[in-house]
Amino acid sequence: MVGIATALVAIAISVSYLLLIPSQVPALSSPFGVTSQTIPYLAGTLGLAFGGALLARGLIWRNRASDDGIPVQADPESRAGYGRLVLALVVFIGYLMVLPIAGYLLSTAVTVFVLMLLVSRDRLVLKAVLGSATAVVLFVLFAELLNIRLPTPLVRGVL
Amino acid sequence: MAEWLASFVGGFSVLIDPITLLAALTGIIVGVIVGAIPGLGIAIAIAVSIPVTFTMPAVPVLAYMLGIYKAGTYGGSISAILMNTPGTPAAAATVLDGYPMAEQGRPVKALRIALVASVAADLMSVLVLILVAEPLARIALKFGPIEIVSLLLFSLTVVAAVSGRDILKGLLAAVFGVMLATIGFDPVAGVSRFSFGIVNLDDGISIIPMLVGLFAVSEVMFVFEQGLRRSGSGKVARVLDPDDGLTFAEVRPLMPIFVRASAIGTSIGSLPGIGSTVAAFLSYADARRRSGNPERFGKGSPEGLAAAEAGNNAVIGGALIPLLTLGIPGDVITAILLGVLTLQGITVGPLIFEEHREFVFQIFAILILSSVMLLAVGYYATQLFSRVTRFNNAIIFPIVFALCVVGTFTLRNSYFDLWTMLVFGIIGYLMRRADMPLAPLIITFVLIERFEQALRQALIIGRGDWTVFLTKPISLGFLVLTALALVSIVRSRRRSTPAASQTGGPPSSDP
Repeated sequence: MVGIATALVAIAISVSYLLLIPSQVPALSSPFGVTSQTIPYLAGTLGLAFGGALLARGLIWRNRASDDGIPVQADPESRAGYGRLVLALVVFIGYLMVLPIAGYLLSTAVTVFVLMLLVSRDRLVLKAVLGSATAVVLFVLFAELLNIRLPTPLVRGVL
Repeated sequence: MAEWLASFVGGFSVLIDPITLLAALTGIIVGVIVGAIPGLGIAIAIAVSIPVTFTMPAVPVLAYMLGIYKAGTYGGSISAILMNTPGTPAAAATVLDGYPMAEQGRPVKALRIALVASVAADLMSVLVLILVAEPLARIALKFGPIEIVSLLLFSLTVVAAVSGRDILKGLLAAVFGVMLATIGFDPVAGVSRFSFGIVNLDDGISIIPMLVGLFAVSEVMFVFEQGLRRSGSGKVARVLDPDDGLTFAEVRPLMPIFVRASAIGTSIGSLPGIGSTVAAFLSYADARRRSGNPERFGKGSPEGLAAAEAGNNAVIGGALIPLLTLGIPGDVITAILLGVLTLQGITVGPLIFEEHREFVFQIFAILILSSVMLLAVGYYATQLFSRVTRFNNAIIFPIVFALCVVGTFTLRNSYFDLWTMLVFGIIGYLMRRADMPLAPLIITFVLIERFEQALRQALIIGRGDWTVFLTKPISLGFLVLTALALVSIVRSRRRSTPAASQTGGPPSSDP
């Protein structure tokens, strides 16, 4: 099933890419046949061909597998894993959105702490300390030693 | 000759530069640690380090990164020997005899055999690099756009076809790399492509957020998906006994294995896309075939361990041959190094031996220096490094994510780069979940601009006639090689079971 899904995504990407070429790549003429559109058209066509081949192969194998009576099994452990992954992604996105508002120190300390909790919920104090320490060490290393400007809180004086 | 000697002396003078020495030592320590921790890898460590080293001079940066490359390749053996879990994919063959040796109460001996084999093979491969690089570069100087197109086509095809377990997925990854590389200004006509009116995309996708996302963020996502299941799959071997050392009498019979494995590893490394895991297994198989005690292989044979480790480390010198002489990266690490050198304003390829000969000697000196440092650090800090295998993923990976963010932001103080990093993290995760290799994507991404420029120049020379690529013997040779390589790869893959490429083991990043 993964092979078929991969093939469908590859075909969708290739078709979208090919359809975008006329509007996104100016068609300048060239006396020798290769323009700004040549490589994009080549890439889109190859993507479509390889995606199509992957789809055909996936369908043939699926039919063979069902002929052989191989059952498709769901892994309950992986469902919990995907849940954790989605939560982590929400934290990543939230962090990038909050970073310019809350500044580097506060947002990083909270994010690292929350991410540590997502993997396991024991030793809360240690994780809180490690989250804060990570933010402070990286802040000192980059902002103080390397003189790099890291995001500061919009409301000055928060930290 | 005098000019050559001056470059040689100038190049090797880096050996007394304290900043370079410190950078190499730091790279060695970081490399052993990331190599020893399953899940963290050389590519992640180098990708995360790029922003930090962005403002440093090229030589210390290279010393640091080559240190990570070498020590990380060796570091993978620590968890392979002590935990039955290879720290990097390259150490998969090390497990076969390394862990049984540790179980039999010889963990320090196993670690030291791995170290000596790694350093010996690495030095031999560097020697080959030093001997063949300049003559090869002189030949490559004669290549014009026509030959370059055929050479790049050969390299890209082989990388796409042999990376990963599935040719079609490797080829698709390469095509995605081309698609991503076409975003931004066209290198010849100067028109913007696929920028959708977004100013940040006019210069194309920035390679560093892309690398950090594909390798580091995607690995962090895997850890969250898998919880703590990926670490601690084997028991950490007993307390290390310092008396369980290694004598010269024990090393002497392994020397022929070092030489043969180095030859195999260097040859494999110099070919695009194959990588250190294959080199380790081929060296292991060769040692078993020639051994007087083949029945001991897989049960704690020092010969098997030495062959596997020598084979995977010899790839390093080999992989640098096409990078330095042709500007073609054969694997993910050399692709990242190519990106780093480009950021530093250095163009690798045959001209580097004419224009920056002293820099080439500096690279050679750094390669030798880091091997010697690895031997010293690995020998005296075995006990210390064995402890890093017990690090907790729940602690490490959130910190890795924080490092990714601060490192990427540091580059240009750009929030756009942070979002790019996250998007590529998701892309990298999905690709690895679909068992699609990352190497072809990265390598085509860094090479396609050169390919497009050369293609257009070649067609101008040929006045639009595509048969121009068949008229030059070297170009024709590379095209024939491309066809032969594709046919032989397809035939060899057909012999293996078809389902193997759809199921197989857990997804992993390439390096």
